[in-house]
Amino acid sequence: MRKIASLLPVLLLLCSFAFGQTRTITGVVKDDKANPVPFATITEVGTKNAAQADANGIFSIKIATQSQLTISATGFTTVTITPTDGQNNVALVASGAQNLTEVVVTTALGIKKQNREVGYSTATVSNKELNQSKVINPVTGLTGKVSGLQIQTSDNSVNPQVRVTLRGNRSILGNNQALIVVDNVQVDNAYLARMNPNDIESFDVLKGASASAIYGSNASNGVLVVTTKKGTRGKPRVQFGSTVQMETISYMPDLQDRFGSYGGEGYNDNLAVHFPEDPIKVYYPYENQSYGPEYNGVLAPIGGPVRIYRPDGTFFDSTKMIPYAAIKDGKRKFFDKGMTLQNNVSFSSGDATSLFYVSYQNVHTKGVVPGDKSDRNTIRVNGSKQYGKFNIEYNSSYTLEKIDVAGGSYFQDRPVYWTVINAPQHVDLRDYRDWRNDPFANPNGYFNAYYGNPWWQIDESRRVTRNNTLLSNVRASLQITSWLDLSYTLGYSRNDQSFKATKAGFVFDAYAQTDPWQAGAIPSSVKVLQPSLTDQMSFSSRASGDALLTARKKFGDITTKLILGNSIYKRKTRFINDASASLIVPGLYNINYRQGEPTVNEGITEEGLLGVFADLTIGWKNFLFLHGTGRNDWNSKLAEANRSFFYPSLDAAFVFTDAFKLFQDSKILSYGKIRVAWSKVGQVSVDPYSLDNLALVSAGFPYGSTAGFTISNNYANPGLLPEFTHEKEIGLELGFLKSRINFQAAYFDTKTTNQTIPSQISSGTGFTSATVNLGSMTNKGYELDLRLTPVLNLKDIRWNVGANFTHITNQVGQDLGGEISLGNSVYAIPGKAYPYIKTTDWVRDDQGRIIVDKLTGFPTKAGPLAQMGTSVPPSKLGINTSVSWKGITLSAVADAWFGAVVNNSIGSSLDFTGISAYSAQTGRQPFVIPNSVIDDGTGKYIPNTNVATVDANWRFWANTWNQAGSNYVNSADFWKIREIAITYDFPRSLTDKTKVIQQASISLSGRNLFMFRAKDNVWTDPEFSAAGTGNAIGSNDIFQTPPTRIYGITLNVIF
Amino acid sequence: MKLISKRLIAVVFLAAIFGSCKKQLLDINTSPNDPTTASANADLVLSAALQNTAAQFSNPTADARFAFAGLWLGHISYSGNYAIATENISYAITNNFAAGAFGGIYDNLEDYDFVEKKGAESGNNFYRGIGMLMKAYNYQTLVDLYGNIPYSEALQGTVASKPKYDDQKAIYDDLGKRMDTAIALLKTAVTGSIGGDVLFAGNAPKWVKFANTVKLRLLIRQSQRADRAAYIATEVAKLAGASFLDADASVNPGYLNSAGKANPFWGSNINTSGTYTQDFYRAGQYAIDFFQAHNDTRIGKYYKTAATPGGTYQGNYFGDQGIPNSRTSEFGTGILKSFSQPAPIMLAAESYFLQAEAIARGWLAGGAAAAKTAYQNGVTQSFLYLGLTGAQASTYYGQAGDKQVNWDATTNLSEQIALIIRQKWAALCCINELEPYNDYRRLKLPADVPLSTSPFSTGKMPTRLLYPQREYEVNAESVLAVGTITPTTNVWWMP
Repeated sequence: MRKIASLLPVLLLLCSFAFGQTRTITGVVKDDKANPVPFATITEVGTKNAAQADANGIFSIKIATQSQLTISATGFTTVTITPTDGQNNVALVASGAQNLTEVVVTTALGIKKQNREVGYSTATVSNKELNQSKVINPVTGLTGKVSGLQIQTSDNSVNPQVRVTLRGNRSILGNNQALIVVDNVQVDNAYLARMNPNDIESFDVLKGASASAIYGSNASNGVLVVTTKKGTRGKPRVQFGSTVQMETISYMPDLQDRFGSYGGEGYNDNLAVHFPEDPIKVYYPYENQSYGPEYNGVLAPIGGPVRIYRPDGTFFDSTKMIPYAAIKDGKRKFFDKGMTLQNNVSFSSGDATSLFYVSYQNVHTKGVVPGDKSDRNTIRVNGSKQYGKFNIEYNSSYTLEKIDVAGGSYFQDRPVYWTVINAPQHVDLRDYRDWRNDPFANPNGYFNAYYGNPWWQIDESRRVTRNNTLLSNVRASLQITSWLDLSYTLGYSRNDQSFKATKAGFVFDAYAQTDPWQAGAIPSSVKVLQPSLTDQMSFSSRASGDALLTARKKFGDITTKLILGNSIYKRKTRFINDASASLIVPGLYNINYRQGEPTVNEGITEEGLLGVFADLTIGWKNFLFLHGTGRNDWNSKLAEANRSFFYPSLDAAFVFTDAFKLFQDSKILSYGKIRVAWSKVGQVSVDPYSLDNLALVSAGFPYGSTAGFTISNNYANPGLLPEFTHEKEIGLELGFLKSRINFQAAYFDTKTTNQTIPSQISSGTGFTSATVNLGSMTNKGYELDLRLTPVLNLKDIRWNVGANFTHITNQVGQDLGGEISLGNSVYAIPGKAYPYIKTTDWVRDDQGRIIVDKLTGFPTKAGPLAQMGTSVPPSKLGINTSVSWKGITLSAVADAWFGAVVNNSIGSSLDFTGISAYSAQTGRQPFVIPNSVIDDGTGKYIPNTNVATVDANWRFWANTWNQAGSNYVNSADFWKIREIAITYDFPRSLTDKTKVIQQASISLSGRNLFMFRAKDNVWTDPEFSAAGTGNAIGSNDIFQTPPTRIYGITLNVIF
Repeated sequence: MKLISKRLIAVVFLAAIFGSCKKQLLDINTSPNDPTTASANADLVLSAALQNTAAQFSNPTADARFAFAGLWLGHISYSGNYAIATENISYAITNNFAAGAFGGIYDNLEDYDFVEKKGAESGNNFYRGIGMLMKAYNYQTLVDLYGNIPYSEALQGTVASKPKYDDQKAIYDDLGKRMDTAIALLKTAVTGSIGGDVLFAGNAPKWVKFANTVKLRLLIRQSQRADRAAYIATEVAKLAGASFLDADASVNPGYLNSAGKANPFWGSNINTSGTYTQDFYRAGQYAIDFFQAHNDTRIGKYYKTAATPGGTYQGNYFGDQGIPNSRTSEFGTGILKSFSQPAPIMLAAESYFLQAEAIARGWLAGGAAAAKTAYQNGVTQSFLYLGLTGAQASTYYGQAGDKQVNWDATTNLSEQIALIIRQKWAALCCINELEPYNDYRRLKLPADVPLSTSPFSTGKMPTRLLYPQREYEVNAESVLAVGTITPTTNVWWMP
């Protein structure tokens, strides 16, 4: 949207030729930033003679010599000019409001269309909306703003994983993420995370397969079309922006602060502390489990006696004492305040025939986990040059990214979060930072016998990832005649990644190894930790060529546009890695210096695709549009006999308000459109080389000169066919009161058949999976978008509101036959929504009540898993609003997801250590399990009213109750305030005085400020997913740190 | 015309792209990473299959495999350093308990099936015989653990992606025939005519001895079924005069002192710098009690003395919350000898104990004297395996009057069987845990194996494993047809 706050003149370049009584006026319509305004309507005043500018704002019209022209365009106040033969400078006023119904959409292949022409569902998000809260990963700026679009941020590290889906999931095990197209070049999803958000002019969201069929096999999940900023004509502009943001932990899981270290287990009571006032209460100062006595504030030992050596080699044993009392908010205090610095500078210029844009951005992030950081530098150059009928555009961006995070602990490779959250509540971990000098913090003497010191791992265990990402494309186009043009786009994207994980060694001292506390402490298990490293170098590249021949012709009332195209790409990946868990020179992480053999691996993949396609649009009287596409792909991943497949799409748009006189005079209904679309898209959801049964290197081999293969566990299928997504869609768009109220509704019905899946098969077959074409998935749903622009318009106050709602009913077809596990307790189950959480549960009676033992009151774990619910929210609501008053704009985005469940496997972990509030809900006193039954002796189950659990301490919570995953599956419903931003634009009167600054603004913004969860979800952000960008969403674990909120300040100046 | 020519140029342009690219774009789907099964050879698959069999059966600390048998039979115990889930110490096992065994064995079976087929294709009886024998070996293990299993429709990929479960007794009958065929094939095999034999280095007579012993084990398993007497009589007759395994059948592909490349049991316990790092399983107190009560010098080879207070052997009983590792015994140097120690698939000791039982039962010729000799050979082989001497063995089994040690102290068949099984239990301690479990289910011997001391114990040691949950998800109809299965549903050969 071009909502322009400061009003600048629109430059209108006109060339005119006198020719008898009529003359032909040609020109370009542009906005205040000298960007072309596409599809402006140019009307000869007093006549019906009109012309329309093209997508680049260029128009041509024949008028009478004396006539004036009216120029109107979406979002701008209509002006009337008297064209002269020379240069015309006309001051135009932007209207400030852009009607949803008249938005110009960048559709597939970069073709700009007026909304009225479009027969399928789209949405456009401008840079301003996208980046109002200064996102780091551009795609997160779309959250809550577009119906049908789900942006799921699956963790909050310094390099968060973000999953992008449109209209739900279609493929059971294949890719469900939307295709990303940047400046007409398809890129891998990961590329988007490394783009500079300031470089993005707009996101066009093509929601359904109908919109994207022409992109070919990769587009069945919808497309995000990214258009980057281009140079601007006129005076060169320099834009500078700087943002500082802070990040803090917003929520921790609900933790108990009543009970300290474990008091139940352990053989040797020598080290147990008996509290003076209560000689029965035993406290184990080295325990990792908080199942001990209640906090009482008494000064008590923490950890056992630690041997401290003097410089002369003599030693003494000492025990650290701390109060046995919970520290308020102790866990949160361990974490740092994260900080992000973003600096962005761009330069743009242009003249009549060329455009140039260059930008640079640095993003430096310091995470909430101490020591975690990332750094990203992005440079982009693009431009274009016109030589008569020949135009060339080039575009290149390069990103250097470095992510440096803590690795696993010295025992069991746990994440930092694990060791922090499970520490007893009376220990302040900040006191254990100096592990090199402080004997109580050193791994030899660290108080916790079973979980290591997190500070050691922050200092000594690192995982560093570097990405070098390049995207370049060149597009050459030739205007062959006024109605025919040809273009060719060459694209090349490449990501080179290097990853290095290093972990220092540690030799536990001889005394610690003897386990002096008799605790079974880490030093006695690990004894000598050898330094280790994992190195990986990989790249993925994608080279593409797209040829387009476009013909436009008008025949009376009929307009036609035909595009013929050819598209090829080749994708390559390669990785090599080496690893050793036994390095020999401390501090030297080089694979050459190790014991034994290194672990080495390599892999290469290559795939190619060839497509030819045709795209025809026929318009009638500018209110009825029929559009059809057909494409044939040849995909290298299928056998020669199967690799060619064809798929068509058809859609129609009918602007009924323009077609019938009845509506043309309506003061209420100003715009109305009905659209229908049908499409079929083929997709090949297998990796290369999936057609042959393979023999793989067997684990451990080769042993010297003895090689060994094992038959792959996957049974291949040489006859694989493509899977097809069929989509039907119908939509209605209405504008009321001169389009102050815009409403859009869409209903879609998608069915993906012939899924290509490594179906899980019985181990009895000799294999565990088989690649087959099996199973279907349907998505039916509707999307509603409402925009009120403005709700209120009083003097200087302007208030806009937008809302969007999506409801999707998803079902895996019965034809899948059996269930498919996606990992993390997530399944595809015939007849159920996808994906579906299934987990361990208790033995229950036919009414679903837990059957407990009539002596112990304990439940029994059931064999079959319990079905818990879908992990993708069927309903999503997003609300955006902005209020402006003079130069101040306040904008906010909120969204809500409803109807899914989340599997908080973190809950089981926290119950194991007894740190969770959940595990202390009965005060560690025996209780009758609610809704439980007992066998009355005859096999009949009667409600259990009095058989309490024989234990309500660690035996119950840590060793029994936490073994059933169903306890930790909760409602995933939430409301989130995603973004709030206040921007102040300095008045022109002020900036003009500087003579240098054209525009300046300052803004305060915040992201993820508030979250309202379902009551039973006391664990973490239900959006988090251990599966990252994978399909198995809905299950979190200890590897996602707690949710954070982000707030900051931004200064933006344009020179 | 001008326009048409331009259009022609465009068409030609597109066609040119189309034609030239098609080949190099699309004919690129042959894996540069892995060989196909069509191009793989039998020797390379055989070496890995044998190594994987050894890794499954010779490592009692392989989680999700057969550690449970060692725990239940008192050889090993859970460490006191860990909190153990109630499920694991109560016998209240679920479908996910030791679930790796089912898939792991079928995975191994697929490789032997490949070896057998390649052997048949190329007319190499040696590969074919080994493939057939090792399949029978693995299938028997599956029946022993699960009862009915996929058999007649198994190992066919998607040709039968939901293989039916065959009757366990019928499978046993068929296994007997397969073993006969395998023995016949191996008898015709030419020593040295195969590669990848990391078990017997291509020595055909050794394979025949091993195969005979595997067959004997199959028959002995059925000893408590009166209705099988006639069958057994027919089958043992075929083994008359056969020679049995007289040296350990152990796999060694060339173990190295590198992560993932050491002997599997060694590698699970000791890292490449020689540090003992396995801290989840410790000595079983029941076994320590037995060894100490009978002056058994093997105790020092199976276990180390505890670090604290030193000099004493200490373990945990199954179900106890446990004593921390510094006060309990690690595995000893008789079973953890070196990173390059061969991994036994079957010990010579087991072979002798099987022979002793068969002779004592009158199935094999020789009578009481031969039974005694076989028994004493079994004990001696056990001592030798652990690095002790024959003299130490004879001192041990010569302890007069001790019915758990001394053959002459036994007075009847049932005492002889009890002695043989007790000593088999002692000889296979922490080496092969499945056989003592099988014997316990067959004969309830050793009779005094203690049950779990956990307050949540069901009091009944499971007599089988439950089918993995995965089967109920991907092959539900077939597995449900087996009927209701509980942890105490007996397998067919149990009395």
